[in-house]
Amino acid sequence: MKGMSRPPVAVGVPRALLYHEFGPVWEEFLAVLGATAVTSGPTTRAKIERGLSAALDEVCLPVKVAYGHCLDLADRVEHVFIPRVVSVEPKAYSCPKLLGLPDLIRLALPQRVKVLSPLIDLSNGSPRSLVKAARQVAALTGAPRAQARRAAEVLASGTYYAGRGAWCGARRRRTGETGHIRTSARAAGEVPLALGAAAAPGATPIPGAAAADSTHGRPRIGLIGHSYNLMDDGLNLSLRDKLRSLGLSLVTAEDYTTAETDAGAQALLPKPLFWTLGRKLAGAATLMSREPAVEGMVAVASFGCGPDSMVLELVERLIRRSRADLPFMLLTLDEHTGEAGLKTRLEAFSDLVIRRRAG
Amino acid sequence: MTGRADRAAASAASAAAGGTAAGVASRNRPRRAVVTFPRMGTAVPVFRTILEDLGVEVLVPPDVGPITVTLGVRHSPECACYPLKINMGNYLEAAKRGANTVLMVGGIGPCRLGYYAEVQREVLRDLGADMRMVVLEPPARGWRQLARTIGDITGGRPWTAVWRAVRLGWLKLNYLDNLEALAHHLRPREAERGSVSKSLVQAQRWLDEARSFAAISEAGHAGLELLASAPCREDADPVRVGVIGEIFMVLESAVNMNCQETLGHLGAEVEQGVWLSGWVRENVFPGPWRPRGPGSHAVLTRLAAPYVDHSVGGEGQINVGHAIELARRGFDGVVHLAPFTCMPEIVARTALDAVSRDYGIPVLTFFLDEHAGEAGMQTRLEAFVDLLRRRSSGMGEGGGAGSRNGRIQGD
Repeated sequence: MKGMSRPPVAVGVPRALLYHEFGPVWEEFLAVLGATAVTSGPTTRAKIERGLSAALDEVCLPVKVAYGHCLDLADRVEHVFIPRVVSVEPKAYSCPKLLGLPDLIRLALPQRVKVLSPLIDLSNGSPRSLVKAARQVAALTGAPRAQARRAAEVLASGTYYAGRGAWCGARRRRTGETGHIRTSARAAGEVPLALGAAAAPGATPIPGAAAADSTHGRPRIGLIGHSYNLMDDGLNLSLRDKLRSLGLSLVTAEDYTTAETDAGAQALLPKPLFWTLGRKLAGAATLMSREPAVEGMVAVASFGCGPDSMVLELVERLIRRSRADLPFMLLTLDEHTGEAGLKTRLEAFSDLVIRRRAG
Repeated sequence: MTGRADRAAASAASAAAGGTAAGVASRNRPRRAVVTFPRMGTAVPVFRTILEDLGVEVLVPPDVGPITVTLGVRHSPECACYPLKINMGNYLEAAKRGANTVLMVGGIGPCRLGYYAEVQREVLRDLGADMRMVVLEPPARGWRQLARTIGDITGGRPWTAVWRAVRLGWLKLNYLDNLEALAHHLRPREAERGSVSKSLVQAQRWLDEARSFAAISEAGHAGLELLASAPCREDADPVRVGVIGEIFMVLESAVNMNCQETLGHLGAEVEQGVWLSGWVRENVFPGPWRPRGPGSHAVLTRLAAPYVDHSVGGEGQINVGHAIELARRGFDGVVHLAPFTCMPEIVARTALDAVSRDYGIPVLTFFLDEHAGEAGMQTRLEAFVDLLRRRSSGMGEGGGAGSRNGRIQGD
């Protein structure tokens, strides 16, 4: 790369936790600064075992999985990228374990491996931390100042920063109308609910929306949970495929714009939730519960998840008030979750949904 | 017993409602507020003092006991942290006795405490309990909101009256905390087992009855004198243990199963890392008035930085700093208390492994919930104090070792 003063540094990027929200942004951020991003492979049982032996027992499964990815990367690189994502929008935060993630991992890695943990903190509305983050990484890679500015802009596109300036344009270019930074891979042929079908809270759902879908009349199930629980097949034992093979089609948070999920969360909970991911989850669940086309909901949480213990409780209670008849199943995952038990619960749930349809 | 107790509570709560089970937030009919609040160690007499001084009718929830825990656990999210469940138990027991308003604190995260009131409100509503939840949100969520809430709960009393009541409560709180700290110091040295605890209870009772500045000062002084006059053994050579952790678990002896007292009776001098008065100084006092010297959050944060380089919510980072500071001051060991699944303290515990190793100080962590048993804690504390005694006598000069070796006070 032009202007670089040293050869490219290899920086490991663990495919865990917030990678499932912002991963491509981080990879681009590192590339712009002249580093070679080395992303770990998918979660495997071996990685999970490694994570289990390194992490404190009480920690939630997704963090244990992250440990496993980092240890795996430490075999191959000298630097691991674990940004300290304190906040990606004003007045809201990540969960405490994510705030402390760089410290947790640093304590588990061998001395020769350095944790690269620039701070990302937009809680007071200022993007200053993004500039510092870019400069910190640039100091390692030897990238020139101009590149650092561009990198900060890339990083901004991976947050919900809505302040003024060129960086907002960068975010809009990346996310488009949906506002989503990263969307899940949809199964081939699976059509999402039409965006905007939920409209404002309290609005009458559009009749015939169900008829418009082209997933051959399969019952739609709302799937709610953090992306690192939903999108990591190694962690959730290929949950989405299991649900699909049982004849269900899935609705997730990405089927709505972030503006809609924010409105949904606001309608559900008068006091704004100060966990970004929790709010996204609660908003999506609210909107899904208002769709007559949604015939059931599966909530996925990890055992010991602090925010979910409160948010999912509220989601379940409040949704039951408006739709007492909606099948709602909470799946709690931990390292002991077994295939057989999971399959049984999913089969029972799909049976219930399909039977309700029949009459 | 479980089924009967909780059905009784729920039906009593609805009977107290005398109305529909609709959400109480929209209720506007004026009625005399009977205010309750969560129990947490010294917070109880202090809240009561402040509110009663302002003419508010207060109903203090009964001591935390088996029924509190049963009710609370039954009506709280399964993986919610233990303090939330105990709070719920308090509210339901208070509702049974006629309380209709709950005074609770809020927060801005990322620790879950900031959302306790919201969850508790919805649970109470679903149970048909006619209780209004009044939440004191921190100024970060707006001074006006806080002012409105205070005006609401006090029935619009003038600010001079509110300030006086707060000063009254503050005076009492400082005496209560000082008494307990002195008790922790004296307990391993007491000549007669249990005498310090007995004097402490007496002193707390005197303070509880005091309602004016003069009376509180008098009761406080009398209490300190009473404690200091307890006969002590000259040859006592206690090990020194710091007790740190999440504030509710440290302050509420019913949930930590009298940890500090047990340590004292095992012959350990306890220094408690968190007090309500200290918490107020660090979190409520305006910036320039906050503590700065050794033991202050400002200093502890710096000490913790090599292990945990940023706040992780709650007092996770602070507790790492505490352990380091205790090690530097030559303490023999650290007991770390936290609710099961407490996120900041899970981060802290991970770092404490390294701190313990690097500073050579044993750290015993308890993650507690409704399943914790008193016998289990007792056994672990006995073993821990034993370990500390052996380590310190092994490293000592040998001369005074005889007085410590294997001698457990009270045996």
